[in-house]
Amino acid sequence: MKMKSKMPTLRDKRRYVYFKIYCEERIGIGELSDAFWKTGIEMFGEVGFSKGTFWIIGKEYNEEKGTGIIRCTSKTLHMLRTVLMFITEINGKKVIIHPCLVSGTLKALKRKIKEEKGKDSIAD
Amino acid sequence: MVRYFYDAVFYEKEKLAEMCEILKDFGCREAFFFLENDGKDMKCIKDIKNYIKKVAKDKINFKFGIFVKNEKNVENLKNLKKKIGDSLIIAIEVDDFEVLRKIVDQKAADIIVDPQRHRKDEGIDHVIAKKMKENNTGLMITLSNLFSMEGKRRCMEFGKIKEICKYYNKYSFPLLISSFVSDPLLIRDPVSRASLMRELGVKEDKALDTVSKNYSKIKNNGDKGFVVRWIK
Repeated sequence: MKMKSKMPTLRDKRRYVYFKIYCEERIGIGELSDAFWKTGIEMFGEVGFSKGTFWIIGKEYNEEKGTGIIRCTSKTLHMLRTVLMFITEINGKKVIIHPCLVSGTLKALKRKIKEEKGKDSIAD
Repeated sequence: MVRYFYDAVFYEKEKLAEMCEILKDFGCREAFFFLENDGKDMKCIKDIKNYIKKVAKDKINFKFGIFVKNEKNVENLKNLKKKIGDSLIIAIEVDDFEVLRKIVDQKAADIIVDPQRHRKDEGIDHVIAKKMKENNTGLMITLSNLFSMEGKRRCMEFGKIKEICKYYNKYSFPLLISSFVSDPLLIRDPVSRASLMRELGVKEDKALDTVSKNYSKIKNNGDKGFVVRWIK
């Protein structure tokens, strides 16, 4: 029997954050997620960081360009930004992870990314 | 309402172009470049200004400041202020609470950097907070300080910053949060910096001011707002 989905009133509102990595070398998704969870748990603790239900979406991560999307809830958006800010190094490489755009759905976020690329405010 | 974002960084000639590009990408309209209080740097400020105009062009506006560390004589600071004029900003880091009190009372500096950093007398009290509001003296919390710490020390530092945030919520003196680094890969975007302040207890509506409005308050003597005149 299939498991029933969560009732709409019990669901958290999701937010999708598009980020860009500034680094001289390539960074794999494994390295990124390790650094993200390590820094998050250091800063907010295991219980505090679990509230976010964070997820780095593997399909959307582009290793060449260093761009990707992370999912979080609307209440923990500031927490996510703070954690990304405190990632200064990944395996000895200095990095900046810049959260460029935020949206409520993946579809809208992708549309926004296209629009911003048209304006050249997000460089490839 | 359009917000202009600010940041404060250390001036480094070799990395200036990269720094300006990153600041522009992050949406910073204006940057404060700080020099260390050496005689050499002070003399060539004009050259540096011209050089920055060439490199930065229209990318960002800039202001200059001088960073002074552990100057205990307040009159030396006042003399320095007379020497350099109104166009430059003085930022100071002091470890002694009494000296800090004197500086704020006599308005000898424009910005106080990381008062929570030193263990002897930690942070500020409500008297200094009120005085800072009157004199438009800024209090700058720097990320370079937080990046240099780990574990227990960083945790304690966050606790001290939380106390400052409580005073800020009540007295609303110009509280600033900046990168204050010389390495361009340690500069962080203004919205993330504001998010950190939210996490540390600053109210929702006041958090964005720490990266935008409060910077402009320092030299402009605050937003005076509207003056209502009674009609007799």
